[in-house]
Amino acid sequence: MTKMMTVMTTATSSLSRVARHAAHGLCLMMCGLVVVVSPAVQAHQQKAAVTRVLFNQRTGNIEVMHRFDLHDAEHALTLLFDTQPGLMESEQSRELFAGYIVNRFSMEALDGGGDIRMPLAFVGQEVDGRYLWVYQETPIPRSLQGLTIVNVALRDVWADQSNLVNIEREAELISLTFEGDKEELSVRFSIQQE
Amino acid sequence: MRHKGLELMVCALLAVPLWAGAQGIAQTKGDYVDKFRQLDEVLPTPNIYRNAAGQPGHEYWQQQVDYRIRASLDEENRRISASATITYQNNSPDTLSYLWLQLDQNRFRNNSLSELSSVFNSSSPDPDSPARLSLGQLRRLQYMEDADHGFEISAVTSGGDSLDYILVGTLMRADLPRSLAPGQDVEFSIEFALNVVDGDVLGTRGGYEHFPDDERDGGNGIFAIAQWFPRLAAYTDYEGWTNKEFLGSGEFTLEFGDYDVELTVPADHIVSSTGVLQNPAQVLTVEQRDRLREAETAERPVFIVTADEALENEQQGSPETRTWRFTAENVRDFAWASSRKFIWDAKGHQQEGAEHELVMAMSFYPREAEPLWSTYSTESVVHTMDVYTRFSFDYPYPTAQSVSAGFVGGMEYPMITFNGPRTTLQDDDTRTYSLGVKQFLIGVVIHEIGHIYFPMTVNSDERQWTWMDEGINSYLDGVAGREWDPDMPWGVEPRDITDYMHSQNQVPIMTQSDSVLRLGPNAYAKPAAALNILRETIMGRELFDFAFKEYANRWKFKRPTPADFFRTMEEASGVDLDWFWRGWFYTTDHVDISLDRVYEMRMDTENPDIDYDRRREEEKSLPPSLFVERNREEGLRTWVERNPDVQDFYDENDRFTVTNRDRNRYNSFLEGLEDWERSALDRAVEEDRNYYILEFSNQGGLVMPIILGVTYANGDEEEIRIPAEIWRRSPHAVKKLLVREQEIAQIVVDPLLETADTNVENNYYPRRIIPSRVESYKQEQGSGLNQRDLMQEIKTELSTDDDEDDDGDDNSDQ
Repeated sequence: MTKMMTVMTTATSSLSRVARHAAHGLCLMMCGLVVVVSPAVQAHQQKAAVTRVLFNQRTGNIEVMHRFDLHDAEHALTLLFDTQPGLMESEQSRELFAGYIVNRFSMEALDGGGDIRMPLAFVGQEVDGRYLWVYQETPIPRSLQGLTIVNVALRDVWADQSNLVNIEREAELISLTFEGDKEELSVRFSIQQE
Repeated sequence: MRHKGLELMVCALLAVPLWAGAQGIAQTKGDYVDKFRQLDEVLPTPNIYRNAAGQPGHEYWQQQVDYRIRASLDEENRRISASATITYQNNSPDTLSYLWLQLDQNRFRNNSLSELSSVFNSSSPDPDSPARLSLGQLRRLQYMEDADHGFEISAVTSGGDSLDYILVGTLMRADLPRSLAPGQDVEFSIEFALNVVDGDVLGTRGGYEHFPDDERDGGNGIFAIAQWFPRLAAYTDYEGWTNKEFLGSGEFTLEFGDYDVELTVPADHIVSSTGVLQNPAQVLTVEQRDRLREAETAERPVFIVTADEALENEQQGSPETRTWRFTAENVRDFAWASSRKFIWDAKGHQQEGAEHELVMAMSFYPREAEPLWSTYSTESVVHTMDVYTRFSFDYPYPTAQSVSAGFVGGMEYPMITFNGPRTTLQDDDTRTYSLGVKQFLIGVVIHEIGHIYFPMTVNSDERQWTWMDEGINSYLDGVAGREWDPDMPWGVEPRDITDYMHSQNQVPIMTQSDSVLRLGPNAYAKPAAALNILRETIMGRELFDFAFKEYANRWKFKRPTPADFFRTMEEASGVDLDWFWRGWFYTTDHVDISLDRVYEMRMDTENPDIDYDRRREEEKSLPPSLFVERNREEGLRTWVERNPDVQDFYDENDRFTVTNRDRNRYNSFLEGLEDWERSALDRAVEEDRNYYILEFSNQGGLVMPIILGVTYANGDEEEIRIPAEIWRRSPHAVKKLLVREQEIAQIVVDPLLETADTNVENNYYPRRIIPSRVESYKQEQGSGLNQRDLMQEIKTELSTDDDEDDDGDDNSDQ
């Protein structure tokens, strides 16, 4: 049961089939709406999100927990969807933002027979302190050799958005950083779970 | 020759272990890691400019650069034309044959290093379709094609003669006709012009913002002008000329100096600027000047230009111009803003005994920022000065200003800041804002005004060490925010950075700005959390606050480096912090302290009449043999049970029976004890305490204090704080003995989440299930009051029996 993992990351400059399902429809809708703010550093905005991908053996699910700085999320919301009530007080706005996020994140399971898209169920969203959290989950597949993740959350709002993904599986942790030209990254687990 | 080659190879091989030995942290033998090794080799050697105590050395020097600038703004063409006369005072011990100047606007040239090295960020999610270009990117491309940006330098002269100069990207080297010896100064002039960039398109720190829908023909603009004149690059004792090309991220470090600036703008414009207005009689009305005087002692901000006056102003326009003259002493930069849209409010902030006893806190904003700005902007400016002054020094300038520039998140310059958050126009023509926007404005004003202390006054080098201004300022804006309203989330809590610190893709805080991965968590959040932890957990508020204030005052109007900060914090507090700086600032270790095991023990009395009894009880308390139990359940009768008449001595006495031989041995043991040994034993026997050995392991690598929350069997609780030094000889695992009267029921490591421990699951003894966020969310869903759309729900009318619809949705917000 000891899991030794080695990480193999591959970067591609475009999204693969994983994202096609997730983001294509949205792209057409968004083209007219998105304003890309250029990559100047503004002293207060973080433009950095963290996602935890947790293999929770207790629940049998891979839990995906996205954390966004509220200021970033609120600013992005107004750029994406024009005028909206704030995220702290409006469930509707939070759902709108969460809906946008879940369409910009997808996972594909690498197993021997090919790559299988993992349907991520939307669990919910909540504000906790300075952060907005968006939750998704999917059952842990029986056999899994690795993961391919596409994360373009807020990348179409700010070109310099940086999204960190921590994959936590047993005692191991693998980090992926989605920024610059990295929109799709893969990890391969070298020893498989039985 | 062959031999020589071989020697070289051997030397190279030897160099690695020798170097590792010199570092002394990890050894070539064994697995000992010296987490507490002093930063001897890491910090620069103290010298006459910066001493070993973290103070400016006895020969500390810095250059002085004074500017006289005459500039005019051509609003129609969005163009600034100016001439600057610069006096450069060489206080260094070096002779200079040339001067370097920063021409930051050249970054916006099409052939700049910044433009040429930018990467294409396709936002297309589909590889099978062509790469997608957003309309925003398209607009930027078109803008850059049409625009003509950067400095146009028409003359560089000194004493009537032209100076040779060369442009190198965003830099200019001006060659002096005669070398500038130590102690000498040189005066030279530059004639220049530049087209102001469109802030909305480029998202810049300064630029213009266009309001095309205003009534006035052609609309109106807000000009927020920064990095707009050739600024002398800093010449320092630690780096020489700081002439690294400006790529857009790593910000600045400049020289202190005095400024005398005349700004000629359209006559109906209001100007906000670094410095103090010198000619109010020429540019302000009598009424405006009266209001300014009234504002000096006002309880709440006073309008110098009201909303109605600004509205009237912005509808008209004037062909005339007016010249506003500002002077500023001892500032490291100069920025300004100009618009006919500005509403202007002001409030005097009194600082008794300070160099500037009266500071005018002022805000400039268009109606698009109301009613948020008139309520909170200037008040936030004053609050920042109140709090920061307590932690550092009196606010060092006569004005502190917040200007609304829609394209900026927030940006700081001496005495003036540009801040972004505004309000939203609703269908009923009112302007509203969310709680998030309110908090954003207060937070960003605190942060940017805070920057006037760090780094505008404590002049750290932003391009080298972003954390020295952003990290320190993020720590302090959290202090000020929590003093504003603790019910709002402010600052960086240690638990906020655990995901980042746990992650693999990161660099130490002590990394040059341009090479930092993920600037936000690296330069803002992690150092802010580290300082928070130093103050609340490691040093304590009294020692931390004293040392921090000492640092701020030592380096006020001077140029500190990280070593000066590290040394001062140690020197002034008497707390060895080298392990903390090393772990938090020079490595990517994280905190994960695990409580692996707890052994409970009771002391043997050595008295057989007590100890043997206890052992008998212990044996009885063990569960019986399953084998024997099952035999009994099956009704099996043992030989002993079937033959009760056959008995001997051992049926009456077990192996714990005490004999006089045991007692004699005990008595001679007691007689052999020294008096002190005897009394120690007697006391321990009498007290009969519980002995616990706690085994900890350091899973994350970062050594930290071990903070324990102990719950006793009777419900009592105790907090135990074990200093980080417990790890000094055994950095991977340590044991701690606890002797307590009460029996312990539970131990929790870091119960208040104050150390940024990344894994809470191994903090509990006995272990418990820690639900994930998703699990917690599912459990709590439906009961969370903070999930309600309160602003919407508040509009719901009370249902009556006649109502068919009972879900309140009939009052939906549009």
